[in-house]
Amino acid sequence: MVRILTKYWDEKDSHRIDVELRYGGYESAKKALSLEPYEVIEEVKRAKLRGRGGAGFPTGQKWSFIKNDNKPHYLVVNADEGEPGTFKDRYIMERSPHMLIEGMIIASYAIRAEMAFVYIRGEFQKAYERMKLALEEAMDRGLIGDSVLGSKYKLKIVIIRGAGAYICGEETALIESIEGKPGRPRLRPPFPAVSGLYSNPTIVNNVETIALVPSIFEFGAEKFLSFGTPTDGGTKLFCVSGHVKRPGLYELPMGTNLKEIIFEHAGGIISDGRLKAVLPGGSSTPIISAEECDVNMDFDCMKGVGSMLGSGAIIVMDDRTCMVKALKSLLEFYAEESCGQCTPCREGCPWIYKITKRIENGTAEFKDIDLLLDVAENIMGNTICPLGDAAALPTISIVNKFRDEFEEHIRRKGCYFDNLPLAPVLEGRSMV
Amino acid sequence: MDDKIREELLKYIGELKSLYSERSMLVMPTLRFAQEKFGRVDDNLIEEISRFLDIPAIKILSTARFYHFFTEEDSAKYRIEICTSISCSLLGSEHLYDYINRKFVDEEIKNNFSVTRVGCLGSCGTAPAMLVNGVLFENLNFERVDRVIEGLKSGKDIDKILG
Repeated sequence: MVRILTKYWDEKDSHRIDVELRYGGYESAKKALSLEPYEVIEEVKRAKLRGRGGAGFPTGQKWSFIKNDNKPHYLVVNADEGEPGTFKDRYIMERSPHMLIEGMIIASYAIRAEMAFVYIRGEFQKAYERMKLALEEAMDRGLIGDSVLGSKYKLKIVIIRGAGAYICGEETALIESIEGKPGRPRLRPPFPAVSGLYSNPTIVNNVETIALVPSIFEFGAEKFLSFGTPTDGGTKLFCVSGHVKRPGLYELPMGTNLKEIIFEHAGGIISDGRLKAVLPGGSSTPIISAEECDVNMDFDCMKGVGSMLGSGAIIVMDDRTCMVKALKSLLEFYAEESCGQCTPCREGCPWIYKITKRIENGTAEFKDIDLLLDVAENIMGNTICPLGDAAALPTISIVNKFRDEFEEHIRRKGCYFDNLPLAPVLEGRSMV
Repeated sequence: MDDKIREELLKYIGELKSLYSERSMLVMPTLRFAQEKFGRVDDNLIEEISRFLDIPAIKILSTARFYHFFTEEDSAKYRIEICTSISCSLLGSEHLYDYINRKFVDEEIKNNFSVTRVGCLGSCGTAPAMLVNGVLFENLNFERVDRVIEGLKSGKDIDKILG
């Protein structure tokens, strides 16, 4: 099975330049720089690379929105990973930061940017230190700077660190944050490719997306495409967490079957319990029940079961899990992280959190279930950014698929599940 | 405002200026530097930063108060942040939160520690997880938490507590 992003993660000091160069690092950037920028974009389009941040937008197409004008262009790498369940970008930066830098060179060249940013989540200390070291190494060797890889192309890469706001993972909030402002999402259009950082054309891409770019030029677009499905090229990092025997990060072909990931790669359910439900693409994707898990993990197939691939964060719940409590945990997060700009989200997220809390602690009435759905449905689509939807989508799906549990909580005046025990999985983790 | 603080701020901003093409790009890094260095970002510091960057204080203030990282008051000596998001909570992080809070009923100790719930720390594959002054601890159980807290009380280097 091909491994692109994780191919040398078992090597000691895989984050250092020497290891990267031993594995052919920066050769793809040399190839790309020998092409015209539009040819680079065409190759990425042919590879059918789609954005790994969650939306799955075709990367080459996004880059082609940048006009050939005289304005400064910017590349911004979104490393503000914060979606509960997701931990892939952190590992890419910790284990192979040079792959990301090489991808940034190619992407910046393609969109004619001479300045690029990595916006790293504030809590990520090690990822920051390793990115910083990798940038210094790359500067020292002339791989970036005034003459990228000995060419006439100039590129400066700087790091900006976040400061504890999940909302900055939204691309326009992230841009606001780089500009030194509160991270409140902007109205679109205009999209960042037209008017982004300091009103200049800007491309915002996820870490995993950019880190995959060099391999398109290493293998060629056709080969890269063949690693995935006909509509989604390449491999995907799946973050498996929750009630599995071997939680961790798995690099697998895009479109790998969800059941296979849970039961074969991640070893199945802990204590040989039974699978109950899965949040397949991070905490903001609609939940799917155990019966719906026989599905391929790619952007289109996941839509087919009414959910989303999202960030590829597979959160597994076994049959001891109380769905009301699980929803409460999700909503506590969104209620806290709403930026407060749009009323439906600012008021709605704490509201649905409070209703869920009432159901869980036994002080709710039957009509509260419909109220919960009603408030959630009225957040959907009524806000500037998708944070409101991210709270509403799992709410609606969890209530609809597990309504009997919500009713039973009200009937019995409280939670009737045992508390899940403190149970870290100390053996058999996988970070590859 | 302490001259020394002023000096350190000026020095930091001076070093960064050449890296960033716009002054406003310095706002986030400078606020972070101030928080880490002085343990808070109060109004005095905001005024200084405003002067050095030549950006209105009200703009710096609105940014500073938006982000969780920047605090108006001095933060506790040891800040324990326990992830209670979904993946950690499925593996019982709520127990950890209660357990650690119970450990700090003694007022004297309590003043040195703050215990808060936080959102996902990106350690879902190694859950449950927590941060102590920004240092990540993963695969937590009661025994490991005891060791962390004993280590803190005896003044050990946070990075080295669990080896």
